[in-house]
Amino acid sequence: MADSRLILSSGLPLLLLLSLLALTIGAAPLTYAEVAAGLLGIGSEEHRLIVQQIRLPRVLLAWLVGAALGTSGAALQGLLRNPLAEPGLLGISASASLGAVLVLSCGLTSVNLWLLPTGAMTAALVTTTALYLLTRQRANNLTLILAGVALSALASALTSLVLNLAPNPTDVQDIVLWLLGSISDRSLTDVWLCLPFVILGLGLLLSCAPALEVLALGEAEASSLGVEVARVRGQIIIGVALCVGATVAIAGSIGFVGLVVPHILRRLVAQRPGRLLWPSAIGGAVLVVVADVMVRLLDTPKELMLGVVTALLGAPFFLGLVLRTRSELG
Amino acid sequence: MTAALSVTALTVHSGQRQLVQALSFQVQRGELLGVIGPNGAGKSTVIKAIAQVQRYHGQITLNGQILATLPPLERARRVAYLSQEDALQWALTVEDFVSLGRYPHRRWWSDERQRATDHAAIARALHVTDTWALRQRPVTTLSGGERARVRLARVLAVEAALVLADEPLAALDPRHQLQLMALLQTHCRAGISIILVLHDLTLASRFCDRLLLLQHGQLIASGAPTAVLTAANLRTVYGIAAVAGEYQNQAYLLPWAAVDAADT
Repeated sequence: MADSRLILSSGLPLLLLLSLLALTIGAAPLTYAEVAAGLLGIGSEEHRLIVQQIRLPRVLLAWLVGAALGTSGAALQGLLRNPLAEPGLLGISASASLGAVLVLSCGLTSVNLWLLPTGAMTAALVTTTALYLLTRQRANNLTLILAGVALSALASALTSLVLNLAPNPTDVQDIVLWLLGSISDRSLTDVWLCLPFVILGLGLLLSCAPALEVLALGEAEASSLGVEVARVRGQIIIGVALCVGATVAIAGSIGFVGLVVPHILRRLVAQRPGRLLWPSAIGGAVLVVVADVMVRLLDTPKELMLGVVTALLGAPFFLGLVLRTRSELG
Repeated sequence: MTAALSVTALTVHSGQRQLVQALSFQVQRGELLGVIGPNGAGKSTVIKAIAQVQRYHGQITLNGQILATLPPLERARRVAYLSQEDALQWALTVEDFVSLGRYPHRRWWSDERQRATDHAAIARALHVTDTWALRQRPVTTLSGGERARVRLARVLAVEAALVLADEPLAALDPRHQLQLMALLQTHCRAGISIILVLHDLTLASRFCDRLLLLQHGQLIASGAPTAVLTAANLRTVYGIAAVAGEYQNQAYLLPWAAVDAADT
């Protein structure tokens, strides 16, 4: 217990500090005093606008996306007893993208804004369930990754099909850019659009913590210890679908957060899968805030998309992890 | 003695196949029951059904209460189950691993006394399985035999009235096999009932109070080891001949040669 408390008590202040830093950075650099004034609504009109309308939504989305993806990764790894499980690698993010793209290209967002997260979450739910059914008999790494590759490929193919058939080429360009994953140019409306689902999803996942510990023993022994395995499984599948679906609908797909964060923190909680959940939420938020600050600090001709950066950093990390667990894959 | 566990007309299907057919038996309080039989006899299926991790027809009661209708945690405090497969993936420390056995006893609030009870149970389980010295080691770095003993410690930490263990001896060397059987015997003397699936007929005949011999999901014989492990049963069920003898006033059995079951 001491371990996870330590991570929380040092992680939360770190997150707040980094977030404050993130609020000062941008096209017009602000001092901490100006940021604070802007947040409280007592500074100049210009500063208030920059802080509240432009930078705050970005930081809040970084929190939501990071916490949602980090916790989803940790929970999936615990449920499937597999350190390589991650929403992006397993095709859950790709499916959520497909759901969102369908809603966008059919122009349904003009009917009702909530249809966007709903479409993404529904698609994520279908894939998470399929993934679980495909891997429940043999939970080894190879089956899991292959099932994820297949589902990912299917979702990407269908997304391409939708884009291919889209009547309006400018729409297509917008959607493709959005798919790369970013939290810039978002408004507080976007934050509200995913906040309730992320909170509900996180609640479902975090309440599984004690059961996830016992699931380390395998489903049969966990069930003999009084864990209602079917209920926990359903709760995690729905929780991941809510978290991933809602954040993908707003920010596009931002990969590898769910893989990297639990992996780094696992040793700090003595490898206990239940104790990993809260720290992964905080760690995920920290990682996305940092990555988003990096994106803004890097002097590139065009601002890099957040999803591109996490993929560039996460993919080699994943490769390293695969090489280390290679013996199991064989 | 009163029957602690009572199994009536236990039947298990897997698709069209019948894994266990109308099996009935009882286990007394403080009894060490060995379930034996060749591969595919349905031994594991029987104890999975008792552990309520396998769908079945029939009735299973423990001290008069129907197990299937007990709330899961309540049931888990009374029946502990050790599966054949070792599914652990994470490098938990031995102590954390064994403490998972206390899950059914957890409360929603943090309770000093409960924590002390948990600690004592975990320490006892570590001591009796000779794994106390390993408690800070990650489970993934243990040898097969150490891991088997740690898994048993996890089951004993539940402190249930009925312990079900599916081939806990498989990875152990002779010394630890003997130690473990003696340990289980001691636990039974303290009033715990144990059902053990095992392949080693020598150990079964030496340590078990009673044996249940299964073949193709059916009960062939049950009773004292000498009554079950007869030459005729061994030949028809296992297709083996064995040397039976007595040492220090105890019957023992030594499987000796494969024979043709159709010879009879």
